[in-house]
This record gives sequence, structure tokens and C-alpha cells, in this order.
Amino acid sequence: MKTCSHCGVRVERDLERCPLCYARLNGASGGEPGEESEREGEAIYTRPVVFLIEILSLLGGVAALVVFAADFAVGFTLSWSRFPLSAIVYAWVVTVAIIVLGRRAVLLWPALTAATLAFLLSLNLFAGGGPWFPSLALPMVVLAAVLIGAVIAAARGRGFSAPAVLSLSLGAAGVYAVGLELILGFYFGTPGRLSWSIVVLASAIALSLVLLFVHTRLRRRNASFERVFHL
Amino acid sequence: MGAKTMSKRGAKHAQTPASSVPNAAEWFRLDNAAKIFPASSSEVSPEVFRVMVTLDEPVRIEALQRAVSRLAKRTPYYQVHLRRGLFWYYLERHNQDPHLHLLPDTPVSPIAIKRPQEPLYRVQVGDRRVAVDVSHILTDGYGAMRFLISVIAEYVRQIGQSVSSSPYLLDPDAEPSSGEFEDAYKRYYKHDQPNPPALSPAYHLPGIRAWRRYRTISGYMSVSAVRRVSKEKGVSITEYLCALYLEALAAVHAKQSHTRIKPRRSVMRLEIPVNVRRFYSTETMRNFSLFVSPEIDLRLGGYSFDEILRAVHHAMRTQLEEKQLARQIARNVGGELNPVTRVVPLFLKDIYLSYLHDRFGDNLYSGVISNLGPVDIPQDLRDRVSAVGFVLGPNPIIKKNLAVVSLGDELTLTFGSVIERRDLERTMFRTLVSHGVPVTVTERGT
Repeated sequence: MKTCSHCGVRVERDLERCPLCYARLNGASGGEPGEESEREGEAIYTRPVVFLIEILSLLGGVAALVVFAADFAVGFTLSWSRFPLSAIVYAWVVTVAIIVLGRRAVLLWPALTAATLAFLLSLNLFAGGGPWFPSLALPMVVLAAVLIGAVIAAARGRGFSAPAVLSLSLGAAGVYAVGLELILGFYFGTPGRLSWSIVVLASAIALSLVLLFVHTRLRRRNASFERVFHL
Repeated sequence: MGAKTMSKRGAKHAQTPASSVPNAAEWFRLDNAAKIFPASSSEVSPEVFRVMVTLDEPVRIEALQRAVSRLAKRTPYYQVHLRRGLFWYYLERHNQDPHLHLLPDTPVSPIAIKRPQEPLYRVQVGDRRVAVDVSHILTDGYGAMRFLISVIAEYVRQIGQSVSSSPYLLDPDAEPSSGEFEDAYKRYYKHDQPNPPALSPAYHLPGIRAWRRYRTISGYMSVSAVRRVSKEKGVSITEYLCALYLEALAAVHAKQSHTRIKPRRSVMRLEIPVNVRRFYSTETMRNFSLFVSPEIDLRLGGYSFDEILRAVHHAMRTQLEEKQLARQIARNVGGELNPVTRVVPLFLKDIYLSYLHDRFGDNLYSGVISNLGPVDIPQDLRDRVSAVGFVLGPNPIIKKNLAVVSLGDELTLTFGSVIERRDLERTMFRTLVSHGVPVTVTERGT
């Protein structure tokens, strides 16, 4: 048996390194810690994120270069490629924001909203024609962002359980349908008319109430979804 | 699944008629604990564990095959295949002799439980070692180790030596009692018990899961040395090992706090399966374990080792109490018996149970310690057995686990890990050494 002078444990004679710290074992007195042991801490924690961003950047860069070259080679100017290039930049920003900001919803949500607005604005500018961004895309995205932000804030602030959050989300989806129909009405010159969105809102509220009712009844009976469905 | 069938001899004297086997029910239900495993098991988390024995001389294959065949007939509740019903999985009896397999290098072999005709345990042999890989659908560590030791006792008889009888050993000539088939959870279920308290999500070790690699590191030490240290500290051996594990987890957490990717959670909680046969009288050879969950919360500040020991000691004493265990049984069996749960078709149950297993099982624990305790075998058999081993299966969420078993004065701690980093094992074994317990470490099996 050899002894690792770092860990103090005995190790089988035929092993060259300690299985715990990778220190080289030189006879009975042990040896120096291995390089792997020194590097183990920081590298393993940071490697996945950095590596992922590098890969995404490389893929995005290659795709953008190919699209740019294909368009530029034809007429020495940029025409159709502006759309896929915008989409590539948008996809990259969204993915990196999700990776870097993770579950920090307070930062992530405004960042994703801003990126989406910038993407839609760029499409509107590149496409030419009538300006649909300020009267259509902007209110749709802002309304969605506000509603989702409100649900997240309410769920976090009040510590809602999963069924309650689902119920709240259904209600928010109903409200969004109404908002969406109003925005479309304004854009197409028929403001103030509501039809299909009322049905969506009523269905969403009904489902939401059923969910809340079942949830509340179970809680009163000292039961829960977890118990009913065999945790 | 890399193990090769070692002998086809068993097939010649297989196909015993079902009627000649005692308690010959053609099928039976999974026990309450096993219900979740078909849904939660996967290639990366096969819900399999290994119990192993090292003999004092190379194994004689033919004698071992005879011993395994005899014990297989003695334990019809293990001679089963998993089948899909409309609402639940069930176990269907078969009469095939278990074939011996070569013991592979992998710490445990996955068992394809949903493949037709797939046995739910596998007996493997290599040089002096006999290992049984068992799906948790069949039984827990107690049942598996008792089966293996009974096989070894019969093997010793088959090679012409005597073994004294012991209540621990299954007699291959006896009929299995109906109690051995029992789902003991249902017997001790009281419907009016409240649920156990809800647990918050726990910290998980960082690290990238190595692709299709599961490795183990074992540490061997003297039971008396560990007992001496734990007695000095006024706790049991299991409590002492849990405190060491939690302290090592806290050290990894502290190290991670100084890196760019901070830990998201600060509750360190261990999942400790407890054989509850000592609380509830039963003969069952199927699953009958519940869990205790000691924890520390690092948001409250740093913990000294003595503080961790106290937290573990009191948590285990509080939770290891019949009234608290009854709450777990009530929750688990109550869920199974609920009419809504029962009428949901199996394909939907699969999805939901798999979600529950991740969300409310692995998500709540930072580590697992399963202590089989001392293996109780007669002295004449003890002379033929030089070591016992116990390895838990891989878990991609919790990433590391610790299996503990002892034979005589040798205590074996086997860490299983799906990640490369090994600072948890290093911290724990170094602390043991610093407490005056000599440790021998190896990456090979027992």
C-alpha cells in the first residue's frame, strides 16, 4: 500500500496517482498534487456557459457570413439578406440573454422585450412600405410583455403555487386576446369592435376559475394536487 | 447491457410448470414504492443497484448456477417480468432460470425493464466475485442482500460444505410464505394521517455529466474506528457519515460561491432510505423502505462540524419515529388508492409520475446515503466470504450517491458519480482521516 501525503489515505500499490486528488504517488511517502486537482475548481464551473456562448457565436457568425456572401456576390449590394441577418442577430441575442441572465427575470424579461422590439423594427425598416411597427407590432409586444411581467411579479411576490400561477396565466391570456383584437381593429380601421376575443376571454376565465376552485377545495381538505396524484 | 450470457445450461432444466411453484399466482401488483420506478427509470437513471460478495476462492460456475436456480424457485416474487396494464404496470411470473453473466467493469448494469422477457435482476460472476444487479421494482437493499447471501450459502452447500441455518438465510427447500409477497405499505396504511411537511428544492452539485460514464470510488475502514469516533461525538455511525457528507457538500457549495456561476440553492438535504422492517413487523421480501431527510440551510450562516452533527442527530431522531413514518405511508399509499389516480390511463400516469419523480423526488435532495448496515451471516459462511459490496445506481440530477455496508470489522463506503469532479469524496475521506480513521481508497470494486 502507498499513502497519499495530501489526502492521508492508503492507496493500492499499483496505482500511480491518488484517486481522490490525482497526486502522483512516489512510494510510501506520497507525492505532489496533480494539475487536474488544481484546475478542477474554477474550470468546471465556468466552462459550460463560456463554451456554449462560443459555439453559438461561431454558428451565428458562420451562418451570417454565408448569407451575406450569397447575397453580396450577386449584385455587390445587400438586399434580401438583411432579413435573415436580422433574424440571426435576434436569435443570438435572445439565446445569450437566456444563458447569461438565467432565471433573473427582472433583467431577462426587459432584455427579451427590447430585443424583440428591435428585431421587429428592423424588419419594418428593411421591408419598406407602410409603417406597421408603431401601430401593430409595438403595442402587441408591449402588451404581452406587461401581462407576462405582471404574472411573474404576482407569482413571485405572493409566492403562488403552480395551480394558482396557471390560473393567473389563463386569465392573462384572455386579457391579451381582447387587447390583440383591439390593436388589430385600430390597425385595420375598425376600432372598438370585439367578437372572437370575448369568447376567448370567457373561456379562459371559466377554466381559470375551475382550476382555482379545485385547488382551493383540495387545500381545504388538507389535500393537494401532489397528494391526489401520488407523490 | 454489455454482460454476456455465461451459461446456457440453465435453459435445459428451466420451464418448471407454474403449478409446481409455491404461491403460484400468475401475476401480482407492484408494491407501493415500486409504482413510480417504471415511469422514472431511463437509460441514464435505470433505478438499479448492485449487491456483491467476494469469496475467498474463485467461484465454481456450475455450483453457482445450481444455487441460483434453487434460490430463484424459492423466491418467485423475483422471477417476474414487468408488464403494462391499462391503468398500472404489473409483474408477471415466469419460470426461466436466471442465467449467470460475466461481471462487467461497469459499477452497475442497467436492466431494460420494459423489454419483453427481461428478468428484473441479473446474477453476475467474475473470478472470486458474485454480484446481483437488481431493479428497484423488485425489492430494496435488504431483500437483495438477503437473496444474495442465501445464494452464497446454497453455493457453499453445493460445493460440499455445510452452512449452519440462520433465520436470515432463505431455505431453498422451504415454501415461500405469503408474507414474503406482501406489499407491507398497504398493510400499515392509515388513511387519516396528514401529509409529511413539504420540502423546498435543495442544492445540487455542479459539474458536467460525463457521457455514458458512471464511476465509483470506494473507501474501506474499520467499523470499530468509525464507531469509536461517532461514540465520542454521541451519535450513531449513520448520523456521523451523514454529517460528513453534509459538511463535504457545504465545502463544495462554498467553493462554488467564489466562482462566476453562483449556487442557486442553499439547502443541503440528504435522502436516507431506512429499512422500516424494525418498526413494522413484516416478512416481506419486496420494497419496504421509507426516507429520512436531515438538512442544513446555508442561508442561516456557516455550520461547524459539531453543529451539522447536532442538526443531523436531532432530525434523524425526530423523523425516525413511527408516527412520522406513518405520514409517509399515508401520503404514498393514499395517492395510489385515490380514485382519480386509479382511473387515469397508464400512458398519462407515466408522464405525470416521471414529472413528479424529478420535481418532488430528486429535486429535493443534494445527496443520497443508503446504509445497509452490518450483513448478518453465520460464522461458517463468514469464513468463506472476504468482503461485501453495495453500489447505488446513477442519478443524473443528484449526480453522486453513497452506499454503505459492513461485514465484520470492515466498513465499505462506495461513492457513485456521474460527474468527473471528486472533491466531495476527497473532502469526506480526508475528514475521516483527520478524525483518526485510517482509510484505504480504490476506484475498483470490492
